[in-house]
Amino acid sequence: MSEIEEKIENSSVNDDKVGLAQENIKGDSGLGLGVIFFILAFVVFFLSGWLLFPKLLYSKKQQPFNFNHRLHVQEMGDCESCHSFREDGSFTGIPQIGMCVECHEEQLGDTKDEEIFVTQYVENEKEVPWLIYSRQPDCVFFSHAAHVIGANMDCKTCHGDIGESTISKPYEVNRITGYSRDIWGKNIWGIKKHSWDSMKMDDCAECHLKETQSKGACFQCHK
Amino acid sequence: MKVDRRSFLGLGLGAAAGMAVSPSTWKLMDDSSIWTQNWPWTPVPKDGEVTFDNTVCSLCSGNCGISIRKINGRPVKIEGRHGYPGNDGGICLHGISGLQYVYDSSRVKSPLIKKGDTWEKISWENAVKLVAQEITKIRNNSKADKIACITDKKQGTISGLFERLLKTIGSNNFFAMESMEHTWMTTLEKIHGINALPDFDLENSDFILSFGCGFIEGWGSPVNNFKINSSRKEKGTQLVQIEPRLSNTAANADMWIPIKPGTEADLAFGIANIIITDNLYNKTYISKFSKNFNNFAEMVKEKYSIEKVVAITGIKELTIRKIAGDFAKASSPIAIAGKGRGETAGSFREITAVHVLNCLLGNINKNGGIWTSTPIVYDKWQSVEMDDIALKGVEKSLNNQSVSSLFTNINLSSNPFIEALFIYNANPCFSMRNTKAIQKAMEKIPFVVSFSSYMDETTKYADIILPSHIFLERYEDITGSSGMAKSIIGLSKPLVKPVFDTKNPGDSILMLANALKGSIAVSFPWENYKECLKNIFFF
Ligand code: SF4
Repeated sequence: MSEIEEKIENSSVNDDKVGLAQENIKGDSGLGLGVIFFILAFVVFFLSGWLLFPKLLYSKKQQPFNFNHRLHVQEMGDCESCHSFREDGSFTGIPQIGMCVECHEEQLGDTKDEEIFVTQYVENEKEVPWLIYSRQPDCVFFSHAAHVIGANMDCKTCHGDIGESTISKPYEVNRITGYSRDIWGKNIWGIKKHSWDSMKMDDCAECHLKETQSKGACFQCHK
Repeated sequence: MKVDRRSFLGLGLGAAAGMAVSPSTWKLMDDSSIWTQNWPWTPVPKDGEVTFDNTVCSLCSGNCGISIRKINGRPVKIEGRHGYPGNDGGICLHGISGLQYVYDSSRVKSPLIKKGDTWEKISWENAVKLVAQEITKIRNNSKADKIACITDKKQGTISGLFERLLKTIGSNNFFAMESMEHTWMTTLEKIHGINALPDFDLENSDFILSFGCGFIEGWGSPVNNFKINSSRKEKGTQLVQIEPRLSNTAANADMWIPIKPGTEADLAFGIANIIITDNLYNKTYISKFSKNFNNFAEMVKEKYSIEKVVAITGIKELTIRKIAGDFAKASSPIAIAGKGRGETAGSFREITAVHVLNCLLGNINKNGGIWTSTPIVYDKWQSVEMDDIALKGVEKSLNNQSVSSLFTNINLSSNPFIEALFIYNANPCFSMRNTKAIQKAMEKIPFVVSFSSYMDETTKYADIILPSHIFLERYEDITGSSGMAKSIIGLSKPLVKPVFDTKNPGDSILMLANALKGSIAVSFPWENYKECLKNIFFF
């Protein structure tokens, strides 16, 4: 015999009481609590999934020292002065120390960061182990030449305002995938406002669809 | 209100729903799928600066120009080199995978000495010392003429150094593995009386009559042949393949004639007979260059009448007539021979019979025909010093033998016919006919030194191995094959740091010559092989 039936059994013939018992059947207190628990759990899990989860998912690392992009752009003129193309069209990416030494053989300014650079790396002829925010997975083939030279695209379209930065933001790495947070993007929902907010395959496809009327074939990037 | 089962259900459902609509579930799904593509134990090649370096592939006689893609100096890929004569940017599958040879598990990783049934590591100094001692002992016993050497070819400075070493030791027994090239050269000598290499101008020919040549399977200059084959349809070039087996070439040909094995020469003479009786031959050429044409015509008429040829070859008369007619009527027909990849000598009778067809149509030294080219000499060696033992040995030693007759003689003789054998870039126990007999002969040679990079079928019989760098690790002049209408000399250079304790075979010879002292050492005055190559290369 169920709890409700028991209640009906044990109740007197008093109509009021019957009514109460019947009310009990409709607005069951267990269900009421269940709803409260449901809402509570929903809110807690929703909020932690949104706010706490990203904190747990990413670990933060600092770059070996701060790099002032704005200052360098002012001095050098444009991005390609340092992030250049080789003769064969391949992209150098982050310059190797040999290029930096052309100016920084000795300390030029008096910042702590430059001092670290000169004393720890230039003097020891050691490459700086930069953490690359936009490093794509190994299974992706990406040609800078095709985009920058071929399609005449701006660095900013994918890399945003990095050229304006004065310090190096912490490098956040996804604990599961090992990728930089910049690939998925800062927004955990994957919502983007600018073309450079995320660098996932869908972002490539979106632009390709717009510009070339086709998302492109798999093997174009996954060789 | 009471906390009951439903409350817990509510809690669970709330948690699940909350989680489901938060970004974490979707993000985790994406992340875990990416994680599966990036197992931490999967090796990922390092990224870095991409550079290209050029060299020559010597994995086969094609000797294609290749370009090696490197990342931070580490070779990662072999590609065909654009603009190189012959392959011009093209490459074959064997060449593409050439880098695998660097790390091949069958490579000999250091000098080895045989102890019973096993191999033991030995230092270069000790290995060379032991070889020198053995050779000196043989020389002192007046048996220098019983020392022999087999390499893959006679041209090139490495072969030159081996030949020179042998001569200063006191022997003339320097052999190169036989290939169709040798038989073709003999044919050209017998028919035209010249010492020449055959260069096949398949590119400009409009009718290729192939007697079992693996035209697209490694014969001649493979990549060049692939290109010719792929443009055949466009150009309207006919390819007729006469071969007992449906090989790739046969499957690709316009016509495949399955012939009884070993009767190719008979068919060629039969075709010659038809060309002569039907008056389809080039009369101007024949009257100008042929002395005994009538005798030849009589001979084929008598011995290779169409009925006889049909019976011998198993090919229908109509087919034979059609081939003969089409071949003779083409504007630049060429008949080629050399079975498979042309790596065996083949039959002299067969190659001669086939070349007679070229002669009948007079397509010699003409576009689309066979060009006869004198082997290019580009190495200039200073004279050697020979002591008494060497002079006597050279005088006594065999001459004009072929590798096969050498092995036959070894097997026939009860005393050691050969006391010591140097073997380099040749694997007779694998590539020659009757390998059992070759193996038996190898067992009978008291002292064998192999310069092979790999533990191959012949190296197994060595007493000492002085392992060589592979082609990507060394300098060497490379002479091209006769598959094309031009002769090419390439220079291979080291693009990979030697992975194991190996040497350039040239350097091994210099080291050995030095250890042999006296006039032998004097005849090898170079500091190293690179210097030797520089000095004797005069182009
Ligand atoms: S055809 Fe021969 S030489 Fe050319 S790439 Fe292939 S193996 Fe090397």
